[in-house]
Amino acid sequence: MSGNALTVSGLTKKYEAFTLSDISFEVPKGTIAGLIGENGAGKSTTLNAVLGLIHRDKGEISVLGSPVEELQPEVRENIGVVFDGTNFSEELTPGKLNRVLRGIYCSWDEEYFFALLKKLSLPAAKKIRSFSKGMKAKLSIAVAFAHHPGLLILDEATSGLDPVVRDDILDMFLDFVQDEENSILVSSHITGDLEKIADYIIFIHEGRLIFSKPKDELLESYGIVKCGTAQFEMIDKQEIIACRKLDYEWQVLVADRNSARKKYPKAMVIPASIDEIMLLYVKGENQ
Amino acid sequence: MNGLIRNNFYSMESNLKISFIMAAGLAFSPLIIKNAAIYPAIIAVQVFLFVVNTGTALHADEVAKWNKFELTLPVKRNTIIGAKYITFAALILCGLFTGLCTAICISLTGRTWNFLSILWGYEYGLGLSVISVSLMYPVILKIGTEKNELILLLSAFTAVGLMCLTAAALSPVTGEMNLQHPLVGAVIVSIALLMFPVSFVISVNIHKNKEF
Repeated sequence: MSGNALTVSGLTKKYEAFTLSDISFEVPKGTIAGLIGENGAGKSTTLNAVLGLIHRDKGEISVLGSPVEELQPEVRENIGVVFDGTNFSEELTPGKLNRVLRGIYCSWDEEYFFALLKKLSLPAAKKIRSFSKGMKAKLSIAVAFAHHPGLLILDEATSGLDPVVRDDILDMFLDFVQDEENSILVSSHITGDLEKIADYIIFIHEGRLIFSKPKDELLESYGIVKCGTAQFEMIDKQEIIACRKLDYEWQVLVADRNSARKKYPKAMVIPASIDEIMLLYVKGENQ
Repeated sequence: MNGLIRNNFYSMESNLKISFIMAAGLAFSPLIIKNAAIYPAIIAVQVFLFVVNTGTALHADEVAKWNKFELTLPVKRNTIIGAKYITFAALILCGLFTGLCTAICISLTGRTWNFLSILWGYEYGLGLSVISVSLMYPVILKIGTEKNELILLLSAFTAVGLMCLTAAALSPVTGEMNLQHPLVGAVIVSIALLMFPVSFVISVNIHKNKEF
């Protein structure tokens, strides 16, 4: 592993009703970074800025060693992109799309593209118009892979896929980063997928970066203390990252669950999933 | 760039087929239409018939978010816009070709026809097509494709207005306001050919500042 595939530093973008402010994270080469956050949190805005599709107000972005504003076609050749939904004219068939893209990408691998179509059970001669949402997502993924990129940027790439296909696609992502040179930045609502494949989790909430941490650190250290009001009052408020009052209990997110177990032996301390961490941040009270 | 041009044609494939059928029908119309005064208008319509598809194709690409995706491809923005203008030019050439078929058909009927009036049909069609598309594309790029039919219509009306204005401006030379005067036709075509690259430069600038 050497260096970062992607570096975002102090990214700020202001819209009339929304501001993405001071987002910083890195995607080291050979890793998968998962971008999470509720709808409208700023995930797609971040990805659009990373791809140079929007003008940013502040901040620096470096993609595969080049500043995003100076991305040359040779660098773009090395980036595979999947947006939510399809991005190809519905009049096209995958076969025609192949003819379009082989005239654009120097590294387009026609044989691999058709092999991927076969693997993903996509008909080459049917119009994209007739494809289901899942088929369109699979086609976008096949396109992203077929020019052998070094960096994949995926916006909700697995949404709309059934669990079996999703599992196959996740395996493709894991294979992709095996050589420790290829990297992926993927935004997803399906945090279970990210728990399976991501090395880093980047959490954006209401346009702000909540954290960018190694996934293992989150899953191995973070915990949820479940307790009653009396026990909740006893918890050191410095240790509370976020908390939430449910009908019969308090749920308290802490960064060190082992320490919490020792300090509050009467409370139940359980490991926190990415989903629960996100929920507590979004729906709970942050300290 | 050829992949981008290919995509543009694929996007309007079904509409193009209809245009070809209509243009082919018009090409054979001199076999039944005996009034030679209508021939130039037939040729002008044929030349214009293909570029009317561009608005629909641009709208389809916007709906599919291809516009956004193509920015992630290994091509520069100039190339993306360049591919669009080459497509427009190719469509106009298709129109000119079907107009040529009409001219051949007219000569095959053995009827007498005026070369200058046929030439005027070409010039009028070319001026209308090139000016319309030169006005339409930057506007669509700026405000979106949702009202593409209206924008095309307004562009075409503006093109006709510009032609009338040219004829009026040249009336001291041509003797009267005469749209069919060879000088007016030549000036209209020259204006159109000048507007096309200017429109390209404007479109590139709009595209560079556009967020997708």
